[in-house]
Amino acid sequence: MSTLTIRIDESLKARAAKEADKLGIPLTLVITHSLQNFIKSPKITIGEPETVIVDAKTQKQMDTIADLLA
Amino acid sequence: MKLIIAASIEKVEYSKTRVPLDALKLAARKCCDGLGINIKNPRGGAGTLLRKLSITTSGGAARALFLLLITKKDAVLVMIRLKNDKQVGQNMALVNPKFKTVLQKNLGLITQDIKAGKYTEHEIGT
Repeated sequence: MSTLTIRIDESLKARAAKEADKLGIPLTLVITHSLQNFIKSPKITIGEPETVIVDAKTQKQMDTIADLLA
Repeated sequence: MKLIIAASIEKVEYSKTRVPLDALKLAARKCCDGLGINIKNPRGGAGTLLRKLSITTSGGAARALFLLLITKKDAVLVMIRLKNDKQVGQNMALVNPKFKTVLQKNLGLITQDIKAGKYTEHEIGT
C-alpha cells in the first residue's frame, strides 16, 4: 500500500465528503475509484489544427500526390 | 473521407508512436472538417494543403501532420512525432531546417508508395 497526499480546494473536499457520507462510503474509496476509472478509460485529446505554410517546391510535391490519388 | 497511410510512413513514422489508430482517424477527421468551405490553401489555387495538430493519449503526446486533398476531403498522414522528438521537436514549421528535410523526404516516400499501390485507406466519415 502507498499514501497519496494532495492539495485541493477546501470547499471541493467538503462537498465531496458530504456526498460520500450520504452514500455511507469513505472519501478514500471515492478517490480510489476515480483513479481506477482514469486508468481504465482511454483518454484522447485532439488539439486544434493549424495550417502549415509551404514553399512552391513542397506545394508541387503535395499536388503530385493529390494527382496520383485522384 | 479517408485517412491514407503510405507503407513507408507506417514504418518510419506511425509504428514508432503508441497513438491508437482511432485517435489518428479522429485527428485526420478534425483536419478535414470545413475543407473547401472554410479552409482554403493560403497560396491559392492548389488543391492540397498541410495541417498539423497535437494528439494526446494515454500513450503520450504527439504531433501529426496531414496532407489534405481539399476537393476529395481525404487526409494523407505525412509525419507523426512524439512531443519530445529530438529531430523535429515541437517546431513543425518550414523555418526549422530539420523539419523541412524530413517533410520533403516523407513526401517523396509517399509519392513512391502511392505509385506502387503500397498504402492503406481508412474511412473517417462523410
